[in-house]
Formats: sequence, structure tokens, C-alpha cells
Amino acid sequence: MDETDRARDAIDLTSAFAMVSHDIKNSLGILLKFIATVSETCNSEQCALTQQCADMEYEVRRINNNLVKLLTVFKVEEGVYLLNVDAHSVKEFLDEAILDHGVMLRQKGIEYEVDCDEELYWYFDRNLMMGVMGNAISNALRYTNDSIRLTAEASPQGLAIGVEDNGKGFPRGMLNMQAGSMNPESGFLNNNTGLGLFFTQTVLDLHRHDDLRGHVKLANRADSSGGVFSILLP
Amino acid sequence: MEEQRQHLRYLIIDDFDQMRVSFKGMLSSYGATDITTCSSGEQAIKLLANDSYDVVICDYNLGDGKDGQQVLEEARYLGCLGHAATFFMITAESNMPMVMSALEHQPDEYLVKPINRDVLHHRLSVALNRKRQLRPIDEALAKEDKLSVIAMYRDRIGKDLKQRLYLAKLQAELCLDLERYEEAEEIYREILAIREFPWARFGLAKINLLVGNHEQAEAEFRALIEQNHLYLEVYDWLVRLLEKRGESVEAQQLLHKAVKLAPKVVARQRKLGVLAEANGDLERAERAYLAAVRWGKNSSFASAQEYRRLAEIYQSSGRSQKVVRLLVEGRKRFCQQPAECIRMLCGQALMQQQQGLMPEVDVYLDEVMHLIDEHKRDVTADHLLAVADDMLRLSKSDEAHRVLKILLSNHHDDESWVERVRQLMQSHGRDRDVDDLVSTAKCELQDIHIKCTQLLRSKRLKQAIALLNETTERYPGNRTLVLMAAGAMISYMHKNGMVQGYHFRCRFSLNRLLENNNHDPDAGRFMRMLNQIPPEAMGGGFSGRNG
Repeated sequence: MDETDRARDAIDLTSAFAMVSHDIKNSLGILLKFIATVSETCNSEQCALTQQCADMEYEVRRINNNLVKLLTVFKVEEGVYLLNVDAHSVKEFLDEAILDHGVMLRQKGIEYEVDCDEELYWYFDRNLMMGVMGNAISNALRYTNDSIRLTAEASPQGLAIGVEDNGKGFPRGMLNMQAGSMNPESGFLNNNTGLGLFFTQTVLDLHRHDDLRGHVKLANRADSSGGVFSILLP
Repeated sequence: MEEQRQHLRYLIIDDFDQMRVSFKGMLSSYGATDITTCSSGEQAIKLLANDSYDVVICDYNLGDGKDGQQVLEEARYLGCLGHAATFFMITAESNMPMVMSALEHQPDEYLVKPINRDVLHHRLSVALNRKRQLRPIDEALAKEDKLSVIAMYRDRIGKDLKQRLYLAKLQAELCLDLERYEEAEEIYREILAIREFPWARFGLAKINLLVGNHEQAEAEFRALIEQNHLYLEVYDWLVRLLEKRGESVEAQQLLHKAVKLAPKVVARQRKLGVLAEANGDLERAERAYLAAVRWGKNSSFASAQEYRRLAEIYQSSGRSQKVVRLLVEGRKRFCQQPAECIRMLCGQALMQQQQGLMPEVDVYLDEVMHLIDEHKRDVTADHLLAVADDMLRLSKSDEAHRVLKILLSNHHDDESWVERVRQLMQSHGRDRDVDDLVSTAKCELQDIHIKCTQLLRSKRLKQAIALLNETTERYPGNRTLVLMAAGAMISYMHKNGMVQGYHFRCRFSLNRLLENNNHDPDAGRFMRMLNQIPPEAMGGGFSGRNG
């Protein structure tokens, strides 16, 4: 009985979270719509609103990403996350991930490219992985100069997905942090990047399969022409 | 593609004004011109019942009243969501218990908020494209037909793993329904070799239960629940197993857990009520029936049963005020469903009797007889048996006999129904009436059956058809004669060309049979034959031309 009661309490708290997040997400959806409407009214590139729209959209996406991270980590911890693994076209998935940031890409004039075989399919929980991509793309958009590139390729260890930008690359502190990032004692959860990495690793761990474990890696290109966020999904 | 978008009909269901406006704008920029919006599940059902839509975009959370899942289930249940329609469910987060629900209860696509224009357009295009590919499968009515279409399709799908996995799942479920367990098992094993999909593991466990490997099945069900205590469909199957074994107390406890996790599922609440009542746990039974009534207000899965059982419990504990209110409420709830309504009327009659108001009883029973006569097609044998039971409790044996005669006339060649009628009569101490009743009811139909068989043998098709149609008008629930009539009309049309009246009649009655049981093999076979009859203008002899 004890166990059931605990489960029910968890559900009650989860449904409270679910209700609140539903409402917040409604508001975010409407905000996004307003932003899109405003940005469509200013055609000229010099319009001051253009930049502000991009900034607003960026913040809205951030709120959403954080909400997703928080809810998912909470549910996984409580054991009430229901993993929904299905086969997905990787190309379609990456296209959607990038289109999610469509308005911003246009506003900031950032070029993007999705480098992935049309016939590549993989098994994963689409919404969890969308959260991971949202987080990674959002970061790339923040630090890039003028382009980002998504790549995906199958390997025997898993699906390798990369999010590349052409900015200044990740700061050294961040790169150092990831070595101990999965270790709670390191205090990584004190900053948002840490939570992002923890969330990503949590999602990858849920996809453990055939004793293969996924991992996440941050790196800078040798010629310091940008950062690469890469994950391996079993 | 652009062409197609313009000609599709779109329906947006969202309780939030701003969201409706937002979706409408996004659809317009997609090229949609025919867009309808509404703000509640109840309105949505009305719209869907009166018009057909190609794309439905529905928010899961619709405030009070029906939620998105209930809209989807009711629309499918009422048959007002065509096979070609694509249903998008909008959720705040994907991870709801419904993710694991049975295949037929899932929307075509989930969209997670917030959604921007680019993403919506992308998802629409991808989903409409997939739906187009699957159309021949969705259109196949009988399960056997579906299976053969799937087999043909799987080779053509190419490298699209998503479609392949979906088809494999569908194929395995159809095989399960058709009791082709070996085929189903083979498919599930193939899938498990790729990944440990819980639904495939669940499929194997179901097969084990169905073929009698109870121990194996139990271990597998328990392991699935252990791994994922939100996978509620597994609970239902484990309950089924425990019941078979007579462990009804444990079955009740297990179902109670499931109901706590997802209280809105009416059928499960009702089942819990029945189990608890059988276990003598009236307190739990009352709560479960009450929950079934409550959540049934917005559900197409509500039945008169929970109202009647709850009324009995109230009555037995002397709460007659509550009985009155409940029965009145139930009659209102089912005023559009005559088969359920007659059970409520019988309940009211029983209550009047208990209060000593015998003249009132007749008023209710007249209404019952009237509804049964008026809605022959909707009132099933199960309903009739329950009504007869009530009438015998009211000592109205003439009425009970009339009702049972209808039942037996609809099943004149089915001994299992004769047996159930016999058991009912015996339980009311009326053994001596049974044989008389059975023989008078069966006699008339058997005579007609024999006569029609003779007419068909001697090739007097038109006469046979006339007699069959006249009889099935009176007894539309008689499957044997309905099929015989359809067969006769089809073979007449094969010889003499299309007859509009026959064609319409056949399609109508075969559709009814397939609605009741979509793997009725005979109805499926006749439907295929009916579809092969060339249209009127072509006449006989040109049947090869339209290939």
C-alpha cells in the first residue's frame, strides 16, 4: 500500500506540474505568435524591432526549454516518466528541431544546414530528444557568428548527432566542467549549462540499449572556428 | 501538394480564444481556406457528426467537459471521424498516461506546445503524406482485408522504418484479434529483436494468456508493471488472468491501483465496481460505480449498468432519495441511446414496485416495449436479456416472454442464446415455461429459414429476397437471415446487373454487421462481392472495362 500511495502522491504533484506547464505553454505559444506578427510587419532590415523580436523569441524559447528540462528531470527522478520510443526519420526530426527556431534564424540572418541522409531512421523518444535538440540549438544560436549546422550519422555505437556553430567556441571553463559534469558533488547543477548537460545525459540514459550508453560532448574546433555539441544516441 | 491543402477541411478545437486565432492564422498561411473553429469538446462532437473534416487539430486540455482524448474516442466510436481524417492532439507535454494506450485510441500525431508556424506546416505536410500512403489500409473494412493490404504494402513502403514499425504493430494486433497467435508471436519476436519495445513484450504476454500459458503470462505482466507502473492496459490483462484463476480479491486490489492512476477510464471503474460487489466490498463498489457515473458524463463508454448497480446499492442501504435522483439523471443521460434508456426505465419501474406503486410500473414498461419496437437495430440481445430479467423481477411474465421471443427470433439458430435464456428463466423458477417459449419463438423463424433455403435452391431468387427482406425488417438483429438476404441480392445483381434498391440495402445491412463486429468474416466477404458488382451504366458483360 505504501508504494501505491507514494506513486499517487507523485502523480498528484506531476499533474499539478502538468497543469501549470500547460498554462505557461499556452502563454508562450501566444507570445510566439505575437512576436511573429510584429516581426512580419517590419520589412526593412534596419527596423529596430527586428533585433528585439529575435531577442524576445530567444527568451521565450529559453523559458520553454527550461520548463521541459525541469519537468523531465523531475518525472524521471520520480519514476513517472513513460518512455515512448518509436522509429523516426532523423532528417524530418532535425528539420523540425531547426524550424522550431525559424523566426530567430530569419531575424538574425543566420544560415543553417541539415546534413543528414534522407533515409536515415532511428529509434528514440521524439519529445525528449526534441528537448535535447532545443537546448543545444538554443545555445548554438546564442554563440554563433552567422551559421549553424546539424549533422547526423549512424555508427555501430549509436546515432551521432552534432550541432556546430561558427562562433568563438565554448569557454574553457565550460569545457573543463564537463569532465565532472555528471557528478553531482562537482556542483555542476549550480548553473544552467550544467542542468542542460545533466538533462541531456538523463535523456540519453533512458535510451540505453544492448548495454550501449549514450554520451554528450562539448568541443571546440581546432582552428577555434566554433563549437561542436555532439551526442551519441544508442 | 498546394492544391490539396486548399481543398482540405480543417477543424480547430481549443477552449482558448487566442489559441484558436493563432492556429487559424497558421493554417491560413499553410494555404487552408476551409477552417472551422470551436471551443469545447461537446461542440466538436456536434460538428464532427454533421460534417466531415480532413484535418482535426484538438487541444488535449479543454477546460471543463470533454477532454481531447474523449473527443477523439467518441468521434471514432460514433464513426464520425473518417479514415482519411488526420487527428492532431496538442499537448503541453507528451508524457501522459495515454501515450501507452491502445493503438485504436491514439491520435495520428501529437504536437507539443508551444508550436510555431514553421513547425506546424512541416508536421502537417509530413503527416498528410504518411496518411495518404496508408489510405488503402485505413479503407479496408474487415480485418482480413486489412491484413492482406498490409502484407502488400510492407514491401512497397521501402526504407521508411517508422511506417514499417507502425504496420508491424497493426499487423500483430489484427492477428491477435483474429486468433492467429503464431503469426502475431512471430511479428512481436521480430520487433523485440530490434529493440525492447514494451508493447511488443506485452503482445507476447497476451498471447501466453490466450493460449493458456497462465504462469508465463503472469510473470510477464508483472514484469511489465514492475518496469512501468503507468502502463495501465497491462493491469487490465493481469486482472483478467487473476479472475480466471478465481483470485478476485487480488484482482480487485490491482484494478484499484490502476483506477487511482487514471480515474477517468469509465470501463475500468465499472469493472472495479463489479469485482468489488462480487467480493462483498460494497463500499468500494459504490465508490467505483459513482466514479463511473461521474466520468461517464463526458464519455462515450458510459452505460446504464453503473447507474443500475449504484441504484441497487443505494436501495439496499435504504437511501431511496438518492435512488430516485440517480435514475432520473441516468434517463436524461441516455435519452439519445434507446438501448441504455430502456435499462434506466426498467430501473425506475423496479423502484416504483418497491414503493408499492404498481400502476406506475406499467407506464414505464409500456415505454420500454415501445422503445424496443422503435429501435430494433440498436437493442442487442444482451440488452434484451437484461430487460427480461428486470421484467421477471417485476413479475411481468407476459412482457418478459415478448422480449425473450424477440431475442430468440434474432438468434433462432444459436444454441448458446437458447441456453442463456434457459438459465435466466430457471433463476426465476420458471423452468416449465422455457420449452414452450423457445419452441414458439424458434418455430416461425425456422419455417422462414427453410422456406427461403428451398426458394434459393429452386432459383426463385426474387421470391426469396422478398421474403427475406420482409423478415429482416421485423428482425434486423437476425444475422443469419440478414446475411442470407445480402447473399441472395448480390447473386441476383451478379446475374442481372445493378439494382439500386438492393445495392443500398446490402451495403446498409453489411455495414451494420461490420460495425458490431469488424471481423465478421461473412459480412466482410459479402462486402467484397458487393463491391465487385459493376455500376448500373456499365450493365452486365462489361465488367472488365474499368480496370
